Amino acid sequence: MGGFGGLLLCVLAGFCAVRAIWSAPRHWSAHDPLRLALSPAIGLGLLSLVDFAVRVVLGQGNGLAVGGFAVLTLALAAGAWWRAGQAAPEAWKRSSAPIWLWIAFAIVAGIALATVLMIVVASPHGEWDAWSIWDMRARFLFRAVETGAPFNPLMEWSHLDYPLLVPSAVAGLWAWNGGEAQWLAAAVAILFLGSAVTVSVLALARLRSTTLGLTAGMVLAGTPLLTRNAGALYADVPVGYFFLAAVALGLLALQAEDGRSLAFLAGLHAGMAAWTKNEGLMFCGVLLLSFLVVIRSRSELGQRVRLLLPMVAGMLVFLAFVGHFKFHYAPANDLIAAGKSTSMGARLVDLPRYTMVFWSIVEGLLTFGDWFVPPVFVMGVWLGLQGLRRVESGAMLWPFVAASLQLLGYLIVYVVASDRLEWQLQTSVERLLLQIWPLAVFSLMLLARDSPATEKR
Amino acid sequence: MTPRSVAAVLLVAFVSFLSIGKFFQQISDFFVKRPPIDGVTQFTARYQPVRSLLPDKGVIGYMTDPAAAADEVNATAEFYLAQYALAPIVVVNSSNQRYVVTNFHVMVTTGSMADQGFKLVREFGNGVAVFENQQWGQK
Repeated sequence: MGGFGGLLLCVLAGFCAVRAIWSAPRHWSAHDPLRLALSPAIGLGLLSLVDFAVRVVLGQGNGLAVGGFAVLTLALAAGAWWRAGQAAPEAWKRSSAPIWLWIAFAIVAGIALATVLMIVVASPHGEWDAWSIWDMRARFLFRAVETGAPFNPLMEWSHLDYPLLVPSAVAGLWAWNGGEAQWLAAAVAILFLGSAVTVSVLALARLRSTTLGLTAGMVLAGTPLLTRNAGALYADVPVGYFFLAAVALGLLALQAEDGRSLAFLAGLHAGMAAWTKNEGLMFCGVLLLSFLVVIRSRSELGQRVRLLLPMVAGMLVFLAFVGHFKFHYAPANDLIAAGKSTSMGARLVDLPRYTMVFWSIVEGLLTFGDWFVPPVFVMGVWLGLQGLRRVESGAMLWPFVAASLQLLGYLIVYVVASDRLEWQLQTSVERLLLQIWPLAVFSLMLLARDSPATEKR
Repeated sequence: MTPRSVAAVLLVAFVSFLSIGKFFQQISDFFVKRPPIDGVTQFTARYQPVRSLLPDKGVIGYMTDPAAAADEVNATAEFYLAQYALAPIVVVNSSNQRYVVTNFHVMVTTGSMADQGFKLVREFGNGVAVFENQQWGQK
């Protein structure tokens, strides 16, 4: 079937999974563009689970990995078909956006796509972390004849505790391809970049307006750092995408009449974030904590539980694999292991460490994104012109709270766990801010006022 | 859309366009002048024939010359790339293994290696060779 066929099957499996969970009638429905935009990442997430289960847990090879994913896709297709028979027709009041805005978005997105394509053609193996961590792990998974080989303690420098969504998905695609092909690793990176842009556009079009959706899409596509990081084949863009998609789906769940399936999908995305990078584990906690605060205003306990339980269940699908990986194969995280060597408690009250981290993050924010002008200023002026919206429900503040809590979590981890703080700040602040960037842009769009002619609600 | 909204969106569109446009220009300048084969492919290709010699599992040592070790970042990168090329064999940055793969940038004779207790198994050119450590397992 080849690598391209494997990629298409991932999109199909993802689409069937979304429709099996968030059902719609058998014809093309109003929310299907959003479902389709969510599909590649879910498909890759599922492929990585099957590949991990087959290669690492069962110790089997390519044949079973390919067959297992084909069977899962068929089962999901059957599930989607069956659920479609019970689904009510979808209605969505579409908001309009001026044609010039569509053209501007297409130009910026087109330039971003051309740029990332040039990067991956020029450097098909990506940058340092790609060949020393992500793609190297994919090679180990794909080539290894021993299940424990990819996690040999002699390679502790390669961060063996990092989760496996990206490497397992790449290994899974190589299995479909019948051999290693570096373009498939690049395709995975580009799919996540594209998903971050399209999901922000389509989710905001449903939650607020198409104008705000396209504006967010332009900001993300126009952020050189996002394109550079995707081209480097790092995992920060995928994890940032999962943060955004989890919150966007959670908001849609809060607005839906029966939001259980959307809450499940939101949890699934948070779980995929944890299966992508360790920062995703923190995000699962942040998402649940902030969601609890948001749904606190709902009068009935039953209403709250009806949304909370599916979200937790969705998370657990991937967290079960994360747990298996962490307990059976991964060593302790180097930050946590390092933190044990000295007193974490002493660091917790070490004020100069807080000051150092705080100013490093402020500096990172002011120079973030490789923009022509720092995005903090541009988005500040943009918000000044648009005006702040009168927030009628706490739900619209939720993404902002979640992004802020995640940032606060990073600050605390730096303060408490880092042995080489200055070096770690220099090498990672930019990437951690990048992970939150799609969610931050999304939350800003929810807080801004929009033109009455284009505002959805 | 109100004039203020139009101005706000135009501002974002303009800055996004300039930012990604400038980056596009930088990358396209590099793209047209790029070497025919990227550095990682070029480096790892040196180890391609070594893979066919090695078994599917196990651990192998790694040795580079002192001149390379002096440049710590490049030396680390080259060690990681050797591991990237030779996976799923685990490469350890030490000569204290039965078999050792080399990454030499300067001329090293088999005689000088023999003096250190390493017997040549096979040479692959470009500073890449596999040696057997004859002191391995001896106390």
